Amino acid sequence: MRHGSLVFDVQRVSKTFQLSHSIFSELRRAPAELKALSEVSVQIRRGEVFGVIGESGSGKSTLGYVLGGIEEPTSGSVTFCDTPLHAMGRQERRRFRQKTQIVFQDSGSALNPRRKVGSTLRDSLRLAGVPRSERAAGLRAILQMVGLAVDHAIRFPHQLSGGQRQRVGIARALAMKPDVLIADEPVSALDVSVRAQIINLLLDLRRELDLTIVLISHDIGVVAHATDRVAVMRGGEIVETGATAEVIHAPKHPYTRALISAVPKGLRQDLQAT
Amino acid sequence: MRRHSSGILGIALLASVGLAGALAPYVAPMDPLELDLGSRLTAPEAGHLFGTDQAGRDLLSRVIWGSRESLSIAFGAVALGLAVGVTLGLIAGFRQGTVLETIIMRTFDVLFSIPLLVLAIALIGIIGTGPITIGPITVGDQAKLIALIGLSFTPALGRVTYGSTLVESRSDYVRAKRAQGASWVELLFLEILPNVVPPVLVQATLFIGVAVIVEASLSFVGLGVQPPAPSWGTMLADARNYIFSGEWWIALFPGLAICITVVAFNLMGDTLRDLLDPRAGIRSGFI
Amino acid sequence: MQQVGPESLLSLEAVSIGVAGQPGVELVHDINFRVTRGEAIGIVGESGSGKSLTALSVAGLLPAGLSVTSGRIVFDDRVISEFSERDLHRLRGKEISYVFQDPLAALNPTLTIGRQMIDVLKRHVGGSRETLRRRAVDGLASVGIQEPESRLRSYPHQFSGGMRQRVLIAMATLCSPKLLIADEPTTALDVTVQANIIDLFRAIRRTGISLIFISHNIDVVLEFCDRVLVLYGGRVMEIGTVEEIGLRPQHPYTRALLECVPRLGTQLDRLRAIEGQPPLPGSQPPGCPFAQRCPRVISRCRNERPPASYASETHMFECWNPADTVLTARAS
Repeated sequence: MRHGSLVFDVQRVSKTFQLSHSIFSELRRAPAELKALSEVSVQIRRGEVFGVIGESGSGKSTLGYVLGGIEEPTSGSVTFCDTPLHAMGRQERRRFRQKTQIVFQDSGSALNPRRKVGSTLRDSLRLAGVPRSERAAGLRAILQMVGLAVDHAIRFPHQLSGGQRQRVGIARALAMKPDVLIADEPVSALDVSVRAQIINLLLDLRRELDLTIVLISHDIGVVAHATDRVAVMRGGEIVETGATAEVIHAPKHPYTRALISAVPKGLRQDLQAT
Repeated sequence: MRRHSSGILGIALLASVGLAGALAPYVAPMDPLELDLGSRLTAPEAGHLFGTDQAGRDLLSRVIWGSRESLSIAFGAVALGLAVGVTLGLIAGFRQGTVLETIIMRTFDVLFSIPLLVLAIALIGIIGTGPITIGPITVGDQAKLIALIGLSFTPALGRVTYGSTLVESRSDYVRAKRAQGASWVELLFLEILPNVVPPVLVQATLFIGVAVIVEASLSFVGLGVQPPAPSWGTMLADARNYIFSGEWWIALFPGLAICITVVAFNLMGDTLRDLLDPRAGIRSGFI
Repeated sequence: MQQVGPESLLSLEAVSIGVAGQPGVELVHDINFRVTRGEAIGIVGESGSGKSLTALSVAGLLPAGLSVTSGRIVFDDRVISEFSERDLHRLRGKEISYVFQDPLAALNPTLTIGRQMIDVLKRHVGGSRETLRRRAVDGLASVGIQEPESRLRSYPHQFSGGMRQRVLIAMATLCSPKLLIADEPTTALDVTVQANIIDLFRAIRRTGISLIFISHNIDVVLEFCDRVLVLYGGRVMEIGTVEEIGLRPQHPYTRALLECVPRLGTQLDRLRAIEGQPPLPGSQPPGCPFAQRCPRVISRCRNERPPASYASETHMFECWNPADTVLTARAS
């Protein structure tokens, strides 16, 4: 696959969730379905960091799950490296899902609270097909890649800080040797001072491992500084796409403008050391 | 430590009762089945610390041996209930929305709606007391009781498991592993089970106490352990005739044994839950 | 510096918080600050800095096992750090209100909003049921909730995250408290919702209520507070007016926090982080707690704790090697 070629070509994808149907929901006249994505089209190029900005309910996470293969579009097509998903056989599908890994938000439930993180990571290595004899080395390798020490592996998730847990989540994804990392709100649960550590880690990994990264977040500041191109979502639709610098400095859509103006500006333009 | 004082008390009580039962052949001063018609109905004294019953058998020894009987049935029943209930609950919770789930949960509902004792009595009434032979297998009293009481615990334990499984199967760590290609067996037993077990285990511990009472009740009405085998229930049944005639010890000691055992299990419940939580310790969420 | 004048509403004097019964372990050390009437002070720090504990101690809500081990807290001329639970109980809700971080956890899921609000009113304010209900409706309207009459009958899970936060704020302001403490009220919210909540706080300030606003995002605090307190490792690193902290930060930690917040200015380059992690609560290194991560650390920092220095009457910091710059203000 050449650099610059399309990793994902999403054409008019919609995703509707069927909500549970019970007598009570009928009586309450609650909606029976939730339209999370509505005719979404986007292209993601190999090697780029693509940002998806949106608030809650915008559908950005659903888009991420569709790209990662854990949700199926209700309509429309998703093409991964020139092969449409619906045309893939079971083997190809498995490989597709292995190549696109999702890093979840550290919501406290992204790692099994009752298992040591090393154990969770070893499982991922096993699922990736690493033979038993090579797993210890594999574990060391992925821990090192994310900046963790081997003795972090013997701890439980609650014994690690938020930033460390997020690194474990990234290591879990790396165990499968993916081509694409889809990071769903990777830093929202972290302190501002730690966020950049994780974002910079993702960017470093992109460079070292030749990855494509999809960065999903409601934090515009983070997305603005880390991505090459960005899509802005609202209510299941993409309202604006483009090069990040352009979208941030010259937003065309009123919603984008509203989002940008809502970011606290602080008191000064930039910090200059003497 | 202070917080767990009741739990520690529970464990201590249980340990004494359990050890006594386990080491019955060495601890019991006499043979529980040995008749001594010469010293029937003697009150507690030096030679017979708990007195003797209407057949002259030493009550202390009978209570000790009875602990073995009652506790093994109780533990066996709960173990069976756990094994079946948890497995079914896991499957039902994981496969929500399918026919399998409906079958399992509705079966639970049916079993649950019948009062435990009524169910047990009905089933034993049908099967009959005493060992039965099914083909090459002989099923003894004990095994029957274990199977029966265990079966009646299955719905409750299954439901608790089901509820937790529903919650855990939606969490990100299950999603992540599923996305990486894990089979449902692996997801269910390696990831979800460890998170679902603690509340079930605490419930199961309480059920051991219930099992003791159920077994005693069944034995009391003659449907459980058959005499002359010593079980606290049969001893109470025997004591029925002597409560008002002054031989108070025949009823008191087995009754006390049942009480202490059940209370001990209840006391242990909280402590057990704390022990099973890897997050026990200072919670730093407030800083 | 710490003159307790008539307009001082709250004063923390050398307050330390530790584990009761374990004299060596302190989670918060020697905090001094004052809040005057009508003032909004922001407390900024990372997780583990002690900011929540400090706020909880003012409301008397420290978790079991923790207590104020030295110093005192004076509220409205009363030494509340020595109050009994009963007296604190009377104070809470009526004079001091606390808005917790997670609205979903702070609201009872089985009771309607109206019921919960009226319960608060009943405890502190008298009146007929109708008067209380009217007041609850006004409370909801004042935080911008549409159709407040019918929303009284809603349950917490029927509100969105931002609206739940508003409800919490409404409940906190129902009895017109003198002091409102908000713990990370915007952290879990989307950016536009956050902006609205900040506007809401501005409106609350205009009614004369004093405010303590806790956040790990210094920019949010700079948006609308009067003064800022920067905590690290349970100690005060710097305290000053918003202008002083925002334009003339002396402490390297404050500067690092300011640098970390991504800005949408002309240069969208790599994000800055503070490498490493904050110290575990309760650990007490001999020198400055920030020495390990400080870009301006000198050997003295590791061994001796820096004394309080003053850049102005209102601007205090504790550092051996402060950054000495004046920054350009943003053209507004």
